[in-house]
Amino acid sequence: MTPRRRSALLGISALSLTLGAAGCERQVVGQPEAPAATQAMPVYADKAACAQEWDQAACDAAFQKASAEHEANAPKYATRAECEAAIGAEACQEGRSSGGGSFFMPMMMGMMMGQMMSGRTGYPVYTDRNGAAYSGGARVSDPQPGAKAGTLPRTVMAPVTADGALASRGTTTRGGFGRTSSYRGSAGA
Amino acid sequence: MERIRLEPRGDWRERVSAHGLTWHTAPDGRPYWDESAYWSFSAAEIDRIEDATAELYDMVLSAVGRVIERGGLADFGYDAAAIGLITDSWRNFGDEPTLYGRFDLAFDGKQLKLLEFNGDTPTSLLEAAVVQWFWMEERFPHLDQFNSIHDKLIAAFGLYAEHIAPPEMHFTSASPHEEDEGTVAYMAVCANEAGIPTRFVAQEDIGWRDGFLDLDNRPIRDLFKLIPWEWWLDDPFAPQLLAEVQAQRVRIVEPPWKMAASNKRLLVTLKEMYPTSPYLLDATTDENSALGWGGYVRKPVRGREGANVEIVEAGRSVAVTRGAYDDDLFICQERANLAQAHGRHAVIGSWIVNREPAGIGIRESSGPITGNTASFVPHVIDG
Repeated sequence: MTPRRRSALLGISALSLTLGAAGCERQVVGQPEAPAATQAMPVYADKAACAQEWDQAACDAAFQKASAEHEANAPKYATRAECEAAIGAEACQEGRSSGGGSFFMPMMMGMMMGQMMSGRTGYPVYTDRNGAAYSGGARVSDPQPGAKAGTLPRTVMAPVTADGALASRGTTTRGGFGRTSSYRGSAGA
Repeated sequence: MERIRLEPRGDWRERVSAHGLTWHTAPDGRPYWDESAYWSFSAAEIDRIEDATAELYDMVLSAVGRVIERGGLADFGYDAAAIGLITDSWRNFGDEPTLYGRFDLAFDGKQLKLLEFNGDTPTSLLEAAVVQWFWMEERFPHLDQFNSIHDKLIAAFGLYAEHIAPPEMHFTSASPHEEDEGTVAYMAVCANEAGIPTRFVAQEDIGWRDGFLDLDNRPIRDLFKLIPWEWWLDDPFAPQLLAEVQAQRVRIVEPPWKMAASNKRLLVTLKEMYPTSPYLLDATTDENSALGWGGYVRKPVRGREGANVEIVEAGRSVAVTRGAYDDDLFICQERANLAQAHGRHAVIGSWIVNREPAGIGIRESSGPITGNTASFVPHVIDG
């Protein structure tokens, strides 16, 4: 008969199963990279507000760019609850992936107008549950004392690269795994 | 083989907890780790299980290869994206770590039949590899056990240690989940023993920013997961997962082809390929032809833990379980005799580690369907 006993239980006596749930908070927004500079950017809730200070075509173009950026790169969450926990009550909208799955992301609250060497452009602006404003993964404005939630700042100081583009770091999205587990039950087989 | 009753150790809960098995008791208070009995096998019986396990694993590999070559994965319930993932993974077979799997066998001492193969997320690993070993050392130090799982896992990790992308390998499961986290922690201990630095990240905490990140934003390049592939492919991160794995920016254990190996539709392919194998039960996708067999079992191809399984005898349903897999494809498999004693039905979980038979663990239930309330009972080789 072939020997079946194992030779030794290496390390088993020191078996310490201490890998359990990490006690860290989930990080919602990435830290901005050290920017080359900052640029003051005006913020508009809609095209009409923008058109009071700029010509209509520039506003339309900037909102279009901001919306495209929003669709492509807004932080995404598996559930409305997770999104609202991070962003704020009634601050999230549902989106659909190309594969048909649904997810939630913050609503674009406005557009901030940037000035690049190549011309003007627009970026989406989000506000979190505390009233701070974000764009490109960076906090561009602290909460405004006394303002209602969702109130946009008039102007933000945004980090920009040498050519004037927003120094976007992107955002880290979490919660993209585990939704199926929540209704399938135990993963073991 | 024989089931023998035995008085449990008075402090068995503390004993098994000390070895990491903290989920020793079911929510209803019944022991999950059940040492009020054990199964005793002869050496000849263990030889049969060992030989069958080695042969079945080679058969599974051949069958997976055939299904992929013949473009048959759509019949397994996969869409184009999953099929691409599985096919690429199979082509990279040599580069992708596969550590382990568990065959569930019906063996009553006479006939030995394959019930299914759990190649993606097999559990009851710590119980089989560690806890029953220490139980035997204490209760029957003069006897033997079919169990070199622990050593073989460490050796298997050792084969990959130098190929792990520095600086570490990540391990993930659902969280909080005592059993899954405990099982994953045990795997990480084995990887550590093989010299691989490890970090745990709950699946819900995995982040995405041009690559998968842990909670400290460290890149995840090698990842052991105790999550079924099919679940992740239904999750919001599925597009990123597909792209990253296929670009080989992240390598995941077990690899995607294990989906096909674990899919119960493969039981039908196996029977077509090896019609005379003594280890295979008849299996079909056509329930009408199964009606002619007398007894058969209808099960979802991607079900887990005995969910949505139905046993039909002479055209009548005699046992059925509920679950979340009723929307899956189903196969019918000829009914096999499980070992029975003291009112318990036993299924042999036979582990394969790095292509070698490595040991067994036994699950028992009061009914004929082994579900997630089945208990784990230790074993010895005696004579």
